[in-house]
Amino acid sequence: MYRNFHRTKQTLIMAAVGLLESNPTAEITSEHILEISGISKGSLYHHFEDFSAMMEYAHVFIFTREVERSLAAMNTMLLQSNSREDLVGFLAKLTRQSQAPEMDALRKFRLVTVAQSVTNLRLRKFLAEEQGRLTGALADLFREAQERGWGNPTLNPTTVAIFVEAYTMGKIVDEITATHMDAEAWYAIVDKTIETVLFPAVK
Amino acid sequence: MNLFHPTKEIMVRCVIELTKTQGIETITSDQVLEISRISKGSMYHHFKDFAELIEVAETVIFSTVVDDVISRLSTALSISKTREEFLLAISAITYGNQSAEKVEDRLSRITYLAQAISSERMRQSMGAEQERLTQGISDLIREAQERGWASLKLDPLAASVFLQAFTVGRVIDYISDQRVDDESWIFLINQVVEQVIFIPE
Repeated sequence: MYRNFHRTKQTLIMAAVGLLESNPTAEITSEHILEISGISKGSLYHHFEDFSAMMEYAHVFIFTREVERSLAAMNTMLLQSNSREDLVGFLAKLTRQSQAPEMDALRKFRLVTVAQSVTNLRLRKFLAEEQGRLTGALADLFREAQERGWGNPTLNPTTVAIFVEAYTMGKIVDEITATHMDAEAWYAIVDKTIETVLFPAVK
Repeated sequence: MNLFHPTKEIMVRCVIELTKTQGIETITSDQVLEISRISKGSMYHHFKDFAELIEVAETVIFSTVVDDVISRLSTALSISKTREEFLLAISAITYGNQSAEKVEDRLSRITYLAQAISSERMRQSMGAEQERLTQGISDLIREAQERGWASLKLDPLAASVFLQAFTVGRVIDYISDQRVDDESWIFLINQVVEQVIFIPE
């Protein structure tokens, strides 16, 4: 979607993305964005309804970028796998990246964006499109794995996609407590789910 | 959560009452003052600002949910004599808990979590309730392990977070236009519960 945007629109969104990434909690103003991007105020309001609309695009951009990376990695894994065991092994490696504590900042960001979309209908509409696209792509990968005889044939691919996205984001409940679970214990439970429920060995 | 000063209690109850007919974000301080008949001065004596009152009310709402989940799970454990009976009881809870009807509850939970991430004050009050929930579920899993209904290889704390993670995270499905049907979701969750969490030792 972003690729089809006018160059000026892209530049503005990327300036906001850069600021959000360097300081996620700081208040970002339109003056700040205009200064960094070197784009005029008139131009900003030509491309966006208002300043918040531009910030919403930036939020969704960050939201989707990491998921797209994971999707690309999964696609490669599927292409390189010659057996169910290969795939399960690759996914275990990916789990240790996507579920790592280092990714918590992104998890938080994703949660906050989803929470904002509960009351902000404009954001919700835009997020829904992107979210639907990501879920669809993940479901396609699982369907492909099913066709190869590796994915559990009794499961609905879209449900699996939502489930994987759900526990990846929902892990955040461990973030606000004083005591935290062990990262290895979490990987173990995700591995077990992948091995026994999503991609069970054929007996 | 009944250790509040009576005035504080009235104000918090008033907000909770209002959430039954309107979104919590639309509640105003004037509304609360009018309904509760408590003076502005008194309100700011008990709360630093109106936002704090809302946060306390949200925490109380969440703590009711925590009590409810823990009590339903411990009942399931106490009435079951075999793993099969226990799984049936859990699956009944799953059915009630994971259904799309619970969408409003889940959306509120996401909002509370987002606030807890962004505000230190909210993090402290909400964090304590979240801790109670995580530990409560974790204790019940440990109990199931002792009865031989859950694998000893399983880390009860991680399992507790996992169960909550996919339940809370399903909210992702509600923001998109096409939604997964309850039946296929519950079917998947039951498989996870039976083959990942509660596997006989």
